[in-house]
Amino acid sequence: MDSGVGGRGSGVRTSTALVVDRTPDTQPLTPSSRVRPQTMAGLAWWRFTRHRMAVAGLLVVAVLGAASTLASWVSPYDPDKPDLQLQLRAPSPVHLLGTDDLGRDLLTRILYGGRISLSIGVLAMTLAVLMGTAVGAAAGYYGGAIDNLLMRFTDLMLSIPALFLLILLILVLRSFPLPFLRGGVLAIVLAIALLSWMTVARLVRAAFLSLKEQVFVEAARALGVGNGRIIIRHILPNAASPIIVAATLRVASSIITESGLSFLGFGVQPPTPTWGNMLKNAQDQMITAPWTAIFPGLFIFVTVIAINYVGDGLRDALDPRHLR
Amino acid sequence: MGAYVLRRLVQAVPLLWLISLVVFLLLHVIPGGPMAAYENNPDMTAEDLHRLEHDLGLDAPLHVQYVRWLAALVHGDWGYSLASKRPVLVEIGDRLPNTVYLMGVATLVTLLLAIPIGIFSAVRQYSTLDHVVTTVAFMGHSIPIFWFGLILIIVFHVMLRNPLSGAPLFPGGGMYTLGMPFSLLDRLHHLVLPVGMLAVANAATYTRYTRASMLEVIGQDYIRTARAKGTPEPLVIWKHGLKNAATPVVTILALDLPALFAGAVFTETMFSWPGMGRLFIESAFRVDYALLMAIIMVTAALTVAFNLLADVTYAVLDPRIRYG
Amino acid sequence: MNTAGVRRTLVAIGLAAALLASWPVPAFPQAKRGGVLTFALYQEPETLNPYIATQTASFEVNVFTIEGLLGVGPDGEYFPLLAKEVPSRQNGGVSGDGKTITYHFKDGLKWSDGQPVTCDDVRFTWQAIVDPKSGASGTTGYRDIETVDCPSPSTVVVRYKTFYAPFLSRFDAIMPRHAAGDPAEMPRWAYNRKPVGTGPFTMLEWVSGDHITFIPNRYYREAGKPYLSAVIIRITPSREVGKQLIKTGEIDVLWDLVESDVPELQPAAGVKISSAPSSFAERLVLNLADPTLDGPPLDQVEKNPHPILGDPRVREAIELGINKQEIIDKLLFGLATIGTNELHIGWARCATKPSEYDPARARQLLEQAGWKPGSDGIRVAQGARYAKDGTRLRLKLQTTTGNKLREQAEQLLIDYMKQIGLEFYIENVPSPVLFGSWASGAFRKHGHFDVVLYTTNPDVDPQSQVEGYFASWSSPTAANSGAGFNYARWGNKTADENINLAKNSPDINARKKAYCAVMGEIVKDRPHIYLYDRSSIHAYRDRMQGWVTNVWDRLGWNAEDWSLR
Repeated sequence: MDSGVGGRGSGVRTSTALVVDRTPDTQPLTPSSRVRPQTMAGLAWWRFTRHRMAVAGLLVVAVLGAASTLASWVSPYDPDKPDLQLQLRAPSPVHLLGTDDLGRDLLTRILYGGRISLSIGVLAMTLAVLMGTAVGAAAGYYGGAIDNLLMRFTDLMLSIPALFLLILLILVLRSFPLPFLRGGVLAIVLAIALLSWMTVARLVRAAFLSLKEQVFVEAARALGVGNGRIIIRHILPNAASPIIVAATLRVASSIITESGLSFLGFGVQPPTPTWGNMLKNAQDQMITAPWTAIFPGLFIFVTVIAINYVGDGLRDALDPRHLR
Repeated sequence: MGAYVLRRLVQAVPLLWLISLVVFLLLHVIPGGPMAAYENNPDMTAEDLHRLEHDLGLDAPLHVQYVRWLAALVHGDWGYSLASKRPVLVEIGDRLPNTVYLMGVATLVTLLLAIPIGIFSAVRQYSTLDHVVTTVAFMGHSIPIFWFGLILIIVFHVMLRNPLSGAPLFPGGGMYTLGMPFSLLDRLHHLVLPVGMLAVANAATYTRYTRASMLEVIGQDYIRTARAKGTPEPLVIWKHGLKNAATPVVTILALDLPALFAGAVFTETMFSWPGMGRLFIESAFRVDYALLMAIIMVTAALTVAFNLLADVTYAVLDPRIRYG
Repeated sequence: MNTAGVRRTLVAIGLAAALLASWPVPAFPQAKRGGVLTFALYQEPETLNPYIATQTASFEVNVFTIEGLLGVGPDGEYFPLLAKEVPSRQNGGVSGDGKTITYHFKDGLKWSDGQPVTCDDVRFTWQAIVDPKSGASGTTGYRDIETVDCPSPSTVVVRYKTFYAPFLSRFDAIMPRHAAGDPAEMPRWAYNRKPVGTGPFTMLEWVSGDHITFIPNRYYREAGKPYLSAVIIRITPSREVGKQLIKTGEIDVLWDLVESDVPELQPAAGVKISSAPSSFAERLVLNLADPTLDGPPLDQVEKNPHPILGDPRVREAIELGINKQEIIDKLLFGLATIGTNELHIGWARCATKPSEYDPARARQLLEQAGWKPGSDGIRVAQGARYAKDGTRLRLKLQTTTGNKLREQAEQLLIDYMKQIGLEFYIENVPSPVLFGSWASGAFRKHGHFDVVLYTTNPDVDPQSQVEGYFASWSSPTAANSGAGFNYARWGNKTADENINLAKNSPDINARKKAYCAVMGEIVKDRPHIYLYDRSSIHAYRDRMQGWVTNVWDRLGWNAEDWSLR
C-alpha cells in the first residue's frame, strides 16, 4: 500500500514544509553520442552527469563545503572577535558581504556558519538514516509481530505534529545536564533525527518486503547464512538506491529545519554562527543593513536547492525506472 | 470497507493514548515549567509558590497528574490554561476559526495554482514552460519560508506604495483594518501576503505531484484509446487524464489537512495572525501544560483521522485497491 | 425546493453567518474631539486581573481601566489617584507606629458600570488576595494586614499586624465586589477578561490574539476626559512588523523597543522616540560559592568559596576589565547609562562612583591574586587563594536564549575578558530553565553556575528587591525550600543590619540612608557587577499628544490626557 501512494512517505507535513520530502520527478536525458560506461557505478555516474542541474548542484555543494571546511585559510578574519569600529559596514572590496552588528566580516561568519549548518544537515541525516534503516530492515525482514510493533511506532511518530514535537524535544534535550547538549548543535541534530527517520524506515521496509522473497535471499538462507548477515550483506546493498536519494534530500530539509528553529529562537546559540541564527539576528536590521539578512538567507536557499538537485540527479542515476 | 474503517478507528485509540502519554512526559521533563513565570517576582514568597503549585495541581506526583488529566478528558474536560486560567477549549475556539480561514484560503489558492500548472507542464513535457515550472517549483520548495516572508514584507509593505494613496501596497499584518466596518475587500487585502507566502511553499509540492501523476496517466492505454477515438485533446486531458491523475493529489491533500487546524507557525508569527500556530508557540514559551496537550492531541487526532480518510479516498478513487 | 434542501441551505447560511460572526466588527462611537489610537504590544495579556497576571503585557493593558488608591509619578513619588491624598504622619493618615493607614476617597467616585466606589471594595480586594483558594500570585504585605475597616463608605482604614515598610505600594489596584465574584473562584472570574474599573477607559471587546478595544469610561471622575474616543491594543508578535507598522502610521504607539531599533526609527518621518532612564539594571550575578555544592547555606559558603570568584580581587578585575562605556556607545547607541548599583533611580537613589575601565589594573589584580598567564594568554592558577595550581581562569557565562542584545553583550564580554587573560564561555538556556524554581532543579536557585547575565529591577519601594537579592537569609537552600534571590550567596553583616533597619523604619529618610549603606557594601564586594542601566524606550507617532514618560508606571498611566492632533 505504501508504494502505491506516491507521497505517503512524506508523513506529517507542516505548512512550513519543514519536514517534507519531494516527489519523484523526471528530468530529460539529453541525447549524447558518448559511449555508455560498462560498470554499474560508472553507469550511474554517467547518468548523473547527464543531469546538468545536478552536476551544478554538486559543484555548488562541493565549493561551499570546501570553503567552509577551509574557512580559516580562506578568510583573513576572525569569525568571533568583535570590532566595534566596523559595525554594519555595507559590502565593499575589503568586506565582500559587509560586516555584522559587532563589526565581524559577514562572509567569514557565513563560512564558519556553513560548517555548523552543513554538519547539522549531514549529522541529522546520518542518524536518521541509521535509525530508519534499522527499524525498516527489521520490520521488513522479520515481518509479523515485529513488523506490526515497529510500524505502529512509526505511525505514532508520524501522527504527532512534527514542528510542535520538534520544539518540545529541543526544550527537553537542552535541559539535560550534559554539556554537549547545551550549546544546541547536538540537541538540534538529535531532535531533527528523532523526527525524520520514519520516512526512511517506510522506504527501507518496502524494499525489504520485496527483496526478501528474491531468489538470491532464498539461496543465502538455504546455505545457512545468518539473518544479520543476510540483512547487511545481501539485502541492504540492493535497497541502497532509495536510501541514498532519501538521505540526500534529508540533508537539505535538515538545513531548512535548523534555520527555522533558530528563527523561532530554539536553535543553536551564539557565539557559534549558523545560517539560521545569523538570519534571526539580522531580522531587526533588515531595513538598516539588509545585507546581514539577505546573504545568510541566500546561502541557505542556494545550498538547499543545490542539494535538492543533487538528490534529483541521484534518483535518475540510481533508479533508472524513473526515467521514461 | 466498513469493517476496515472500524478496525482502523479502534486501532487509533491506543495510538492516541500513547501519544498523550509521550507528550505529557515530554512536557513535564522541560525544566522550569509553568511556575517559572512567578519565580522572578521578589514579591512571591515560598509559601505563595507552594500555594499556587498546589492550586494548579502541580505538586502531585507525575502519574497522578497524568491520571487526573486523562480522567478529566474522558469526561470531556480539557482543563484550563495555566496562563489565562480560561478553559482550554475556549482558548482554542478563539483561534481555530482564524487558522481555518487563513489555511483554507491558502490551500484553495495553492490548488488553483498548482493543478493547472502541473497538468500543463506534464502535457507539454520538456517544453520551456515545463522547465520554468520545474525550476520554480524547486526554488519554491527550497526557499526558507520565514526569509521569504521577511522579503515579502520589505518589498510589498515597506518599499512599494499604493500610487493613489501613498499607503503601503499591502498590510504588513493582521486580519483586517482595525476600527473599520466589515469589508470583504479589506479582508482580501490582508490575505494577500500571508497567503502568498504559504502558497509559494506549498504550490511547489502540489505542482510536482500533479505533474508526476499526470505524466504517469498520459502514458496509459485508455488515454491513447480516447485519442484514437478522436476525442478532442482538451477533453482527453481534463476529463480522462485529470480524473485519474487526481487520486494521489487528493490523497496528499487529505494528509495536509491537519495543517488546516494546526496552523502555520511562521506565517502567523510574521503577519500577526491570531491562529493556532502562534497559540502553540506562545504556550510553549509559557510551558502551558493543558493548552499544549490539547493542541497536540487535537492535531494528532486529526492527523490520524485524515490518514484514514486518505486511505479511504484512495480506495474509493482507485478500485484496484482492496482492503481486507 | 424540498424541505431537506431548504434545511440544508439554511444550515449553510447559518454556518456562514456563524463564521462571519466570529470576526466581530468593532463599532465604537466616533467622538468629536476623539480619534482612535492604536497601541502595539508584542505579547497578548494572559489575563487582566492584576492579582493573577504575571506578564508585563497584562499590566500594560489593564492600566487603561484599573486604578489603585495611589499612583507613582514620573519623579518616583506617590500621588493620590482614588485617594484624596497620600497618607502621611503629617496629615494623620499614618499612625505613630506606622501600622494603621487611613485613606479617604475622592468625592463621587464611580465604577465604569455606574456603581459607587466604596471602602468595601478595598476590603474585598484584600479578602480576594489573601483567600488561600484565589490563586493570587503574590500576597506580600496583604498577608500582614489584620483587617480593613470601613468607618464610612469613603474612608478606608488598613490595620497591619506588623509594620510593613512599603505599605504605600499596596492596593495599587482595586477590584469591585459587585462585578467580581467569589474570591475562591478568582481564576474563573469573567472580570479577568473584562474588568470593571475606575480608569479613563473601559473595555469594549477582546478578540483573542488580535486586539483589545477600550472606549471612554462614562463615569470617569475627571469631566471631559478622556479625549480619545478609543484605544486599540493591537497584538503584534513580531517586533520587525511592529516597526514597519509605526513607520507607515498603522499604529501610533510601539511599546518597548530595544536600543538597536532606534537608528532605524529615528529618521522615519512622523515617528518620535521616547527614551528615559529606567530602574532596569543589566548585571552579572557572580556565584561566590563553590558551584559544585547544592544550594549551600551561607555558613558553608565561607568554607567552600568559589575557586575563582571567591577571591574579591578577581571580581574587581572582572569589573575593571569591562569597557562599560563602549558597550553603551556602540551596542546601545548611547541610550543607557553606566551601571553602578541596584538603586540608581527613584526616591531611594544612592549615587555611587561608576567603575573605571582599567584593563592594566585588572591584569595587575589577577597577577596579585595568583593567576599567571598561560601559553594561550588565558591565566592559570599559581598560588591563587582558593583554586588549585594549574586551574584555568575559565568561567561559564549564561543568560536566556533568544535575547539578541544580551547575546551581543556576552560576545563583547568574552573579548574584554580575553584581554585580561580570563576566559568566558557561553552556555545560554531558555528563560524557564534559567528562572526555574527550586523544585524544578533550576541551576540558578541551586547555585550551579559561575556568572549569570540578566536584568532585574527594584519596585518603587525597593525593600523586597534589596532584601530578596542581598540579605544573607535570602540565599535559596533546601532548608527554606529555595526561597529568596541571593543567588550570589553573599553574606555581609553591614548589609544585613541595614536591610533590617530599612524594613522596620517608618521614616523615609532613615530608610534611604540604610539602603545607601547596603549599596556601598555591594559596590565594594561585587556580588553583582552592574553593566548598564537600561532606558525605557518607546516609539510614537507625532500626532499623539499628552503622553508623559513615567518609568515607574505603565505606558498608559496618563491615558486620560492623551489626544490625537
